Amino acid sequence: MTPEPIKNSELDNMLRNALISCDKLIIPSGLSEKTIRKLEKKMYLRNLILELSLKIGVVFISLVVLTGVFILINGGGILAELFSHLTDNRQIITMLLIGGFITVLIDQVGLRFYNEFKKEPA
Amino acid sequence: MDDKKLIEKIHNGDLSAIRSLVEENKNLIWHIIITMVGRNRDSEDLFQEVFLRVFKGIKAFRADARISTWIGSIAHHVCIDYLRKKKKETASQHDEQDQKSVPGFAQDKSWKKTENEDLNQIVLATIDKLPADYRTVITLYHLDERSYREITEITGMPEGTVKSYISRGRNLLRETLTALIPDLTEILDDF
Repeated sequence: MTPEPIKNSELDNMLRNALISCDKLIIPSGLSEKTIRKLEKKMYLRNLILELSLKIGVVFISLVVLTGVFILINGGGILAELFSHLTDNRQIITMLLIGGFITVLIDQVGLRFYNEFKKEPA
Repeated sequence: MDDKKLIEKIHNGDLSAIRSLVEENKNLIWHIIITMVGRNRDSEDLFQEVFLRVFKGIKAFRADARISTWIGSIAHHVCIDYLRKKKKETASQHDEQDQKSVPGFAQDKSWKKTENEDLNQIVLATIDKLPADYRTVITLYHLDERSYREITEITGMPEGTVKSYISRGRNLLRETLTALIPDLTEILDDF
């Protein structure tokens, strides 16, 4: 946007020329690139986490739908049986879930993030 | 790029939008930091801090103002926070001294030394002698070509104050230049 009308063009030109010539007002080379990389990393990480959350959400929704189908076919008794199995094997199920989550996290977030930014200049 | 499109792209996780955001606003942010804080080892960190805050707060941005104005106001706040932290140190002391030196600046005989120096250097030295708020407003107006209204939005100062700072800065510069280079009197007195 153009500033309001100036009162003395000579003086304003002098001011402008002086400010343009001022070295310290020139952004250091590499600073904006460094900032862009930093922000890109943050955004990429955010995107990966969002994507992983969506994938996990889809898996959970699928499991819930599958359970609903089983209940419809076999009646409510299967739910009690399922809970019984889950509680009997809760330790191994918890370990599998944690193990699975960590593996997926490393694969879908860690490795993809590393691969994207490993060529970053020092 | 249009502000709305840019925001939309950032919301959608488009990495190229980040580049546009920084490239389009880097000079404005740098000018605000340098005029308020000066060039020191923290200025580059402040520059990055501004964009990190912008990135974090982009959801809060309402497109009723230009995005550059909003980013500028964040930069202004970041600098104020920094100066508050450092208020016991040189920045504020320097400004206080500057505040006192403004009225009689043109009579300061030490500035006669610069008589034969480049005109730009004289102008810059004069601007450097101004308090931080003056420097910021003058730089935003003359270098970044921001309107009074935009400067008001960026700095949070009333429009009257902005106008007054620009006018007083000009007057001071005119006084200084005509004192150093009398030949300029006719040209610069044309107010």
